[in-house]
Amino acid sequence: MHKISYDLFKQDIFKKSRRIPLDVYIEVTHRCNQNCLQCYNPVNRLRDVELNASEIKYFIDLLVDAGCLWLNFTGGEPFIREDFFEFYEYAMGKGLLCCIQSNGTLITRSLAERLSDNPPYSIDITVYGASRETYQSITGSGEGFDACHKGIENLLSVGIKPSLKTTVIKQNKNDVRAIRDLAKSYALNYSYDPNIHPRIDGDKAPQALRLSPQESADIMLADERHHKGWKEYLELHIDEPIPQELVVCGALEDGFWIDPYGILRICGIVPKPTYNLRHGGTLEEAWDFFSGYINSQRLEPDNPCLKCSLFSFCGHCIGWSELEHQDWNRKVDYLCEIAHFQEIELKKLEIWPKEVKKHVPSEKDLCKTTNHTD
Amino acid sequence: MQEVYKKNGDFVYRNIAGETLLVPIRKAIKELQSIYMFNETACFIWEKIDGRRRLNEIAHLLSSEYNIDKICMETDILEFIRKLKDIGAVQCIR
Repeated sequence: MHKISYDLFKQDIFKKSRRIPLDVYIEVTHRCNQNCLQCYNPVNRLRDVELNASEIKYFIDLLVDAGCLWLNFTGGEPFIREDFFEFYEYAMGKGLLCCIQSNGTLITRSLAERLSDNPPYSIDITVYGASRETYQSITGSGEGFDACHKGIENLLSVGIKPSLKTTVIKQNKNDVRAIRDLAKSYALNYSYDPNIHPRIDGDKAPQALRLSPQESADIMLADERHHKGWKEYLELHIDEPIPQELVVCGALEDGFWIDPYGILRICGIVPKPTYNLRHGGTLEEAWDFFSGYINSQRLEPDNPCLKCSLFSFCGHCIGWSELEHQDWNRKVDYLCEIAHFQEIELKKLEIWPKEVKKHVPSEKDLCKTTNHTD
Repeated sequence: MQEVYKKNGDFVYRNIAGETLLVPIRKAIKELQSIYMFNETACFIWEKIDGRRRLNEIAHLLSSEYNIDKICMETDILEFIRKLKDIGAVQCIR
């Protein structure tokens, strides 16, 4: 018997097979007690009957058989489901490492105590602002601010340390420092993300809330704790050759998403293709279907990103392209501009590598990208 | 080798991609950062721990299954049990 870290285990499994859904997300509901302006999910707009606890448990059995190790419960707000513990504790009992993503506002003392009987592998709490006013402007409820804080304290009181995170938009950009200080006061990890894309159903309203590309670049670089990570990433990846494949982000590499209606997707923000597991079928069939679809996609020769020196850095994402342009091959100007601003700032900070030899595909390489569906 | 052990329900025995693992599920979060991998012999012993069999019975079953020197086998079983006890995966009940 030997002890191995989860990261190392994951790497070992990857070497053996790329068809093990080690890390799966399940949106157990699209209902939410908050009504956030920027949410990427169409919350509180039910499309169908949600998976019931028995169906979720059946899906959990399929995932366990397929080799899943991390199961992420997200939403909507997972704790809005009164039967949450029925499937959560079932998953724990099956040897899944359960992760939860919550807004924290429904975490009462008794809920935290029950959670502490089966503590999650991780729990992320999204903190929307540092005041009731900011909460009011984003979630529609100033009371959420107090409830979230209480939820964090309830978790801490039973020995569960959540990680805090913030989606940064115009309404809370000035609160980030205060939220970071709050996390520091509790000795909790904190991360934030200013990248806002349209909703998964195509609603582009959230785009109006996002920071300018310059602001977004600045805020991502503002946290000096991450500078070392930026440097290491750039040194490793910035001169990587531009691949021929369109999907380079790792989607479907080690898992997929399941929505509240039993629909599988390759990622939370890629609305199609889909596979309806509720209507039968197996995870293996779903995997084959998704793999076939992804492998048939190639960067088109006229895609401007093919000649860009920032390809491995820019956050190029098929989901964003789909949500903004309904075309996996279209450049997302917002991400592109952020990357160029970041390059400028990282050079000023002397984090950007001095010598970068980017392999730009030749005409011959580009020809290979045609006829990709043959 | 007369002791009887039972498994602790806070660990789940799983097979992922041909690797056999013991996954701790109910420890404090800070203790959940590692997983335990078993080799074939360890799997055999684990599967035989049931709260009824004595260690010498498990040793007998093991020797029937594998051609292992008896002294080495007993040493291996005791060492494996010690590791399981250290992490709280089993407890001696008799």
